[in-house]
Amino acid sequence: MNERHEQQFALKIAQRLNDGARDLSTETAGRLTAARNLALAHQKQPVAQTAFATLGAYIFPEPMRFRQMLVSSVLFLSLTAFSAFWMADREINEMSVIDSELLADELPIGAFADQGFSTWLKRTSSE
Amino acid sequence: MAKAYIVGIATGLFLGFSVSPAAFGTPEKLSLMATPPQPAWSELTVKQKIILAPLCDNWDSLEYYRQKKWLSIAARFSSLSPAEQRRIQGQMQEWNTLTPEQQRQARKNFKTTRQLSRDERQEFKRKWAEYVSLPESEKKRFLQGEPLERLKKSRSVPDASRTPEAQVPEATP
Repeated sequence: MNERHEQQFALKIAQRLNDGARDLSTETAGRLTAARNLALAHQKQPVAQTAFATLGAYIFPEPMRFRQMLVSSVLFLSLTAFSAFWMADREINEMSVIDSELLADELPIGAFADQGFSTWLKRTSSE
Repeated sequence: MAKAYIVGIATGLFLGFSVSPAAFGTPEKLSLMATPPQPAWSELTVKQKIILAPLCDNWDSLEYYRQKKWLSIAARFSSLSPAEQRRIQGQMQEWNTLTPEQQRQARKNFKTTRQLSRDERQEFKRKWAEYVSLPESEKKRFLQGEPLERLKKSRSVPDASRTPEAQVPEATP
């Protein structure tokens, strides 16, 4: 019952305000519109807060344009790929140096690769 | 705007260098994934074909990173002595028959021997010669991790310490 009375009361106030608004001077109306727009501009919109969104907001505080994000992503991905290629390349170079020396050594491959020899060596060394 | 690019670059480099080895697991996997295609056998220069002749049969079936590695070895080949060149060519095929795991272990053992003193290295050579002269049956026993006690008895070596040794797990061939 109380609720209904409240609603009716609120409606009456709104009606009175609307009547009053029609009677406002142009200047006042203009100022009110400007104030309203300013308030709306400052109103915080609720955004779904995920962990990445929070991190992203921290790293890029100002709103990013789509083009900037695209360029950053492309840069990021190409650099990841570049470093992977670079590391693979460096590793292959190291491998080729070791393999070359191993194969060129006076001792045959077996001395380094034979599992039986490795085990035998450990056994006889512990005597 | 510049800040965004800098952060993008830094993150890319950091992730690339730190994540790729971890993500790819063993080093070979990284090389496997991140090596571009190499020339086929028919596309090699004459000089490369001469050096890599032992591999001509299975060159095209080798992984790119292995091909790249061999090409790198071939590039430095002329700076080696004739004896070294001979040894490399003589063992190329045998090396290729090893699994990546066996190769990794061999490289590890090789690196260890490189750090030996001259005397230790002589000893290592002597041990190898001794092992080679063992009969096949004896060699096989070491492949399977024979307990120390049985070994001492069979070789009639005076046992200095009779400490019981834990059974070594069988080495996978």
